[in-house]
Amino acid sequence: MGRLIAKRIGIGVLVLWGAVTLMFLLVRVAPGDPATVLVGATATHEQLAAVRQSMGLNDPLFVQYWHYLGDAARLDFGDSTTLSQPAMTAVLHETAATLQLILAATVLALVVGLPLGAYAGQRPGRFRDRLISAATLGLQAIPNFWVGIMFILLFAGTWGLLPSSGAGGIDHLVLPAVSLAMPFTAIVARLTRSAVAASTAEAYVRTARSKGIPERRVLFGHILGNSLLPVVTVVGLQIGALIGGDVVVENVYSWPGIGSLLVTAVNNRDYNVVQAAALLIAGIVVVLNLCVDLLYLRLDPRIRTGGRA
Amino acid sequence: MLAVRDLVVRTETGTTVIDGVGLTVPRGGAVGLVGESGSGKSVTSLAAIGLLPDGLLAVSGAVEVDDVDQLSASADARRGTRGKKVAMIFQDPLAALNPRQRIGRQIDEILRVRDGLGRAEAARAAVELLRRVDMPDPEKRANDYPHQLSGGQRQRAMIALALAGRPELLLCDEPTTALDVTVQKHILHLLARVRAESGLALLLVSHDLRVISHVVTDLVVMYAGRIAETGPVRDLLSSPRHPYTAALVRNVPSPRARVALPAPLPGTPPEPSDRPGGCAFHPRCPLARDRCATDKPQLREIGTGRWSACHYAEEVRP
Ligand SMILES: Nc1ncnc2c1ncn2[C@@H]1O[C@H](COP(=O)(O)OP(=O)(O)OP(=O)(O)O)[C@@H](O)[C@H]1O
Ligand code: SF4
Ligand SMILES: [Mg+2]
Repeated sequence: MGRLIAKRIGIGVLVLWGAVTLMFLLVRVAPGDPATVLVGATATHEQLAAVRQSMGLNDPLFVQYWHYLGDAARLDFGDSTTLSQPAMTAVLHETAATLQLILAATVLALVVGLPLGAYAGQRPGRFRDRLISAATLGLQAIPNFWVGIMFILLFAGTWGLLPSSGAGGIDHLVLPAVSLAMPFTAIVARLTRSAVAASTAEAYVRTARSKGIPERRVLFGHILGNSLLPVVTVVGLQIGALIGGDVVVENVYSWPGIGSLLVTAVNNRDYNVVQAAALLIAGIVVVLNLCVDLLYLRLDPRIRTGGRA
Repeated sequence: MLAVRDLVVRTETGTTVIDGVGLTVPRGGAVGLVGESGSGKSVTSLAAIGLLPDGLLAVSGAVEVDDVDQLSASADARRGTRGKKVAMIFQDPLAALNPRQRIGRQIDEILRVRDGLGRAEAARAAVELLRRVDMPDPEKRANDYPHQLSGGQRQRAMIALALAGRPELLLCDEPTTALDVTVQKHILHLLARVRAESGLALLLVSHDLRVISHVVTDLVVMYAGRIAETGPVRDLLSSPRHPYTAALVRNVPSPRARVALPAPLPGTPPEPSDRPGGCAFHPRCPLARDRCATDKPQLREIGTGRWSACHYAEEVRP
C-alpha cells in the first residue's frame, strides 16, 4: 500500500513536469511576442532587443528550458506585467475563492447526485428510474455558460433574489456553485444509478436479503458501499472537467478566482500570470486526484489488505 | 417444514421456467434436488426463500413454510421468515460474501439487527459460530475479508452466516461445486453434522448425484423445469423408475473409480424457451415412443413414496 501511494505521488510529479513543459512550448509558439507587449508597440528595435536579452529570449531553446524548469520548481514565474506583483502571488491570492467554489460544487453534486442515483438504481427500468435518467441526461447536456446566463437573468434579474456577480456572503456563492455543480451532479447521479443497479443483482446482496434484514439496511450496508467505488473513480476522472467548468463559471459570474484571473491575463498577454495560474490549476488537479486515489484505497479492502487465498 | 406445491415460475416475457413443481422437506429431514444445469434447481430453491431474481415471477402454486404460504404473505412476513426460519447458502461463496465487510460482521449482522445484540456480544457469537463450523483460528478469521480466505473457509463462513439466525431449514444451492474434492467432503460432513446436532432440515441442491446421495434420505430429480422422479434415495439409486434418473445413476462412478465416467446421455437439456412438447425428455430418451412427443406425462405414484413422470416407468431398467 505504501508503494502504491508512492507510485501515485510519482505520477503526480510527472504530470506537473508535463504541464510545465507544455506551457514552455506553448508560450514560445503563441502569437504576440512577450517583449513587444512589455515595452509597447511604439518601442524601437533597440529597446525591444534589450528587453529580449534581459528576458533570456535570445538563449538557445534548451537553455531557456533549463532555466524555466528551475524557475517553475521555485514557483517563480516573474512579475505580472499588468498587476505590479509577482505572478504567483497574484494567482495564490485568488486560490481560496476558487477552492471555495469547487468545494461547494462538489459537495452539492455528491449530496444531490448520490441519493438521486441510488433511488433510481434501486428499481432499474421503472418509472422513477426513467424519469431521473432523462432528467440527468438533460442536465449533463446543458452548457455551463448558458445555465449561468439564464440564472443571472432569472434569479438576479427578473426575481431579484440573488446577486449576479462578485463574491461575498453565501448568497454570492449560490448561483456559481449551482451552475458549476449541475453537470457534475448529473454525472454522479448517472454513475451511482448504474453502480447501484449493478450491485443490486450481486450475489452478496441476495445473501444480505436472505438474512431478513430491512431493505434500508441492505441498501446502506451492502449496496451503496460497493457502488461508491466506481463513483469515486469517475469523480476523480471528472476533476479536470470540473476545473474547466470553473473557469467558465467564474467568468460568467465575475467570481474573483483563478479562472477570472486567467482569462483577464490571457486577454492582456500577461504570460507570467497565465503560466502561474496554469501550473497552480494543474497542481490542484493532481492533489485532488491523489485524494481520490487515497479514498479508493480506503474503500476497497482488496487493495488495502492484499490477497491470501 | 417446507412444502412447495404446483409452483409455476415465469419470466417477464412469459417463458415458463418452473412448470408445476412440488416437493416437501419434513422437519429435520434431508432432501436432495438433482438435475442437469438449467433444470430449475436454483430457481426452485430461490423461490422457496422468496428471493427470485428480478425478471422471474412465481405466477401460481404455493410455497408453504410451516403451513404459511409465502407467496400470498405480506412482504414483512416473508422477510421475517428469511434468515430465522429458512436460510440459504449459495454456490459461489466468494460472490455471495460482501467483499468490503469483515467475515465476522457479515455473520453477526442478523444478530445485531434482528436479535438486538450489542456489538461485542454479536462479535463473540460470530466467533462461536465460526468455531462450530470448524473454521481454523476463528478469532483471526472473523476479522478477515472474504478474499483473504480459502474457498473452503469461505464456504464455512457462509454456513456460519446461514446458521446465525438459528434457522429450521437450510437451503444449500450447490454448496460444494466451487470446491475441490477433499474440501467437498469436509463441507458435506459438516452439513450432515450440523443437521444431526440441531435437527435442522436440509434441501441439498446439486447436479451431482454422487455428491449428495450420502447425506440425504430422499431425492427429487428435476428435468426442464419439471419433476421427473422422486422417492427415497436408496430406491432411486437401485431401481430408478424414470429414464433420466437411470442415466444420472449410471453416471455415478463406483467408489473405486478414478475418473468420472463420460456423460451417459447424448445431447443437452433444452432452454426454457424451446422445451419440446409432450415429455420434454423425449428427444434424449432411449425409451421414447410416438406418444412421448405429444402426451405430457403427469407425476404418478408408482410405489410407496415413489413418484415418476414417465409413461413407461415400469419398463425402466437401471
Ligand atoms: N433471472 C432470470 N431471468 C430469466 N430466466 C432465468 C433467470 N434465472 C434463471 N433463468 C432460467 O431458468 C432456468 C433454470 O435456471 P436454474 O438456475 O434454476 O438452473 P439450475 O438447475 O440451478 O442449473 P445449474 O446447475 O446451472 O445451477 C435456466 O434455463 C435459465 O435460463
Ligand atoms: S415419457 Fe417417454 S420420453 Fe418421457 S421419459 Fe418416459 S419414455 Fe422417455
Ligand atoms: Mg443453479
